[in-house]
Amino acid sequence: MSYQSGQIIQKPRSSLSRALIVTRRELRDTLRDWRIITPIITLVVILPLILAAILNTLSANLVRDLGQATFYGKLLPFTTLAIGFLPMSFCLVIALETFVGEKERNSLEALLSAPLTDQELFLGKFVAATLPTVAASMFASLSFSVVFTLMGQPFPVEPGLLLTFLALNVVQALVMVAGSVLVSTHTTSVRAANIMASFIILPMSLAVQLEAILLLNNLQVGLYFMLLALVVILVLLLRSGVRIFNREEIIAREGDNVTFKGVFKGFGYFFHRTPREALAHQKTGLRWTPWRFYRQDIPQIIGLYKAASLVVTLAIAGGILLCVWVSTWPVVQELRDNLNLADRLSGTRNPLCQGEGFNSINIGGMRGVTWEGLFINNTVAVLFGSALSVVSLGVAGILILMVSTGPIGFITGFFFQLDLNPLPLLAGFILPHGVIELPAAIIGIAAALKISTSIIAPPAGMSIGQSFQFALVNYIKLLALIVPLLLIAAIIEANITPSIGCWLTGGTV
Amino acid sequence: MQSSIVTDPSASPGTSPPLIEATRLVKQFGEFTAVKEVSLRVEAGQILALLGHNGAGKTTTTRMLAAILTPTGGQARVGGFDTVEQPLEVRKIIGHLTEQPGLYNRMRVLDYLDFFGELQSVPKKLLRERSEELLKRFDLWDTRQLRMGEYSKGMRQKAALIRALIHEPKVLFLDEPTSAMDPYSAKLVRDAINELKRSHRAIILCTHNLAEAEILADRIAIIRKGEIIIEGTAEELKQKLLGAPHYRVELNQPLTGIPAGLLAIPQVKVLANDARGFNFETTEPEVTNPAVLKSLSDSGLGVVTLSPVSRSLESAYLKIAGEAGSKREGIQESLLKDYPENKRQAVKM
Repeated sequence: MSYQSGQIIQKPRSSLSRALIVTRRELRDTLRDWRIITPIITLVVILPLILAAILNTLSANLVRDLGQATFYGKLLPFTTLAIGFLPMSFCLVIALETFVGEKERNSLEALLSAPLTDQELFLGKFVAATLPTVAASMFASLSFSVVFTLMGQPFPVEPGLLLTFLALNVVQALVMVAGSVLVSTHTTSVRAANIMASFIILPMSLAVQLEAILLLNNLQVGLYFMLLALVVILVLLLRSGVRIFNREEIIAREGDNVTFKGVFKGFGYFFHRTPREALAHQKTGLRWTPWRFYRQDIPQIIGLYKAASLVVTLAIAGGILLCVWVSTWPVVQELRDNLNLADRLSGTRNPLCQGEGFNSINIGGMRGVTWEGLFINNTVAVLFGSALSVVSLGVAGILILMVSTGPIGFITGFFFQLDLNPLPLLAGFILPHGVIELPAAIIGIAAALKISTSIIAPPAGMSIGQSFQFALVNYIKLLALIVPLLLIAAIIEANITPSIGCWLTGGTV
Repeated sequence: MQSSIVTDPSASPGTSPPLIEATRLVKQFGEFTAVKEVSLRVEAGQILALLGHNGAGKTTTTRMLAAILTPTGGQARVGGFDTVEQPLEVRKIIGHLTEQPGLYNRMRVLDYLDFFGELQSVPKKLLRERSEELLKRFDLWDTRQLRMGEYSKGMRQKAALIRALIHEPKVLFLDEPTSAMDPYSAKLVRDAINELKRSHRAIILCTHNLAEAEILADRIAIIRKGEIIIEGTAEELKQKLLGAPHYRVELNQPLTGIPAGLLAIPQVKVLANDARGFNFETTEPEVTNPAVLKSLSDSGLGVVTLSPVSRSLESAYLKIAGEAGSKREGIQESLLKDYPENKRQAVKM
């Protein structure tokens, strides 16, 4: 045995070639697994053949029953799309096996000891997990199309649309693998990863159904938007994946058992520490007092959520500007004229300023404009928006806020179009309570947005579960700010805003 | 078995900077501190054994040194490279045998070695030659056609060790290298480790096998609850933990009492006696043992043998790291007088 230290290393390889060494090994491993290869061959060779044969045989009947346009224009393209999606499920199987399977078999540590960067390892495994499925998907769509054509039928889908299908399936595969990486990084067994993979399968199934709806309703332009949306999601997932996939996270994750005791302990841990202490994993926290809570916890959370709050604020501002722009659309101006807004907005006495209440309306379960009703209404709206935000990556909550604030844009737009000054109305009837209510709502939705992203990008040193608990606890802590603010805003809106508004506007609208 | 060892003249123990140097390494996982201010150094041609219970912090320490985990505090350099700033350079010069062999079950061993050799940029031809050489050395050549999933535990361990050696690393981290092996295979591996040491590799050996540590290691560090509580050669550890060496004198006639001359020799403490002889403790055997022999001769007692009483590293280890050693008996303050107060406290826990 000869040990000649340090003399045998040749010129170092490039990053890509090192990543591809990993890819080649993974691919060889995958292609040796009959449990993966057999169903893939079935789905990409046998099934397309059978489907092509059935559709060819039944084509005359189907054309007669469904009509030529439906059969050739909808059914065949949809079949081509669907058959390309079928092998997609293997993405998950391969990806979970590639990422978490290796960890479970304890073979990953040897790989982590090799001179590979985290990114090279990620790239190598990502390509290995995606390539077989993408190839299978393309092959399935193409084999169906070719076989069907060879049977004397026209090519089942226009080339442009076929390219769109292929692109959609490729991006879907990439999204699923990127999602699997996130799942795999935070689990220690294939079993746990498979359970968590339902979070990937369900949205992707919905995406495919949406694609089908768009295709069958001749809304093919919608497919391009879907492609764009999937690319955006892919970029976000990849960004998180690259950040999360690191040796530290992978090695440090030793188990994923969940116990009620552990969950409660986790919540207690985050409740008792300031966010900074929790992020720094400090053993002992400052003693909990209301003073500390409002002087440390709340400002720190707001500081942590600056970016999310900015996103929500920009979305609201964008929504208002969008409504100003929409108010200039001819169709909207036509509506404006039909409602005779020009007369209504110029000089009409505001009933609120005449001492008349709004007893006919019901806010927050209360008759008329009362602070209790406004408080209940706004609190429920923020909580509801937050709940929807959690399950929609913040989109639903932001949309609700945009819908709530959109009328400001329309009012502003219409006032300018009618050469009226909107400022007294906005400053008098919205600003007094809005300066408190709107920040409260923005913080609430931003915190909910952070809950939903907590499982995608946990802070350093936190597992998905800890990150989720941390975000949830932060949200609950913030309620101690949001709810009082909404209460104050409601009292102002019911009792002070009308007086200021009437004073500034002179009692007109 | 042929063994052609080519030594690196630029590196000899004691003259070159340490290949492994850790200064006050700390690793925290959340609130749990797995490694507390561990400092160690291993020069070329040295083996340091890390002994400790499961979960004592051995594996975490080696993972930090292998640039897999980032230390929460402290610094480590391996082969002159900083493990945090230059992790790729570190990983190029280390061979890491992990606690679990973790092979790819569907691969054959040659493909497995090709894969890791390629990652380490070993030229193809040399890789094949080295693979063959190492597989033959560790008796795996005849099984090269098998998938590694068919390997026994010991074979898996050997395949993983070969993987760690395939690029001729300067530094080796060996976590339980012989744990699953039969005696013959374990001997093969121990011989290989000795050869690696002679060829100026720096080796850290994590093990529960105290006999193996005693045979192979130049120095032994006992790690407990993330702290190195004592470090030294096997003999130093025994002396520090078990006291001065003990000797046994066997006489050719029954002993009726301890001769007065013997009791007068300074630094000799008679521990026990029986009809065949007696045991004594001395801190300076070079001086006292001739005096003991002379005293016995003067007393008319014939000495059959005077031999050291063998004391195992195991008893020293159990004394310092074991529950029995630490809780029931406690550690004698005097044995720990050379250690800082904080470490003494750790030993007493």
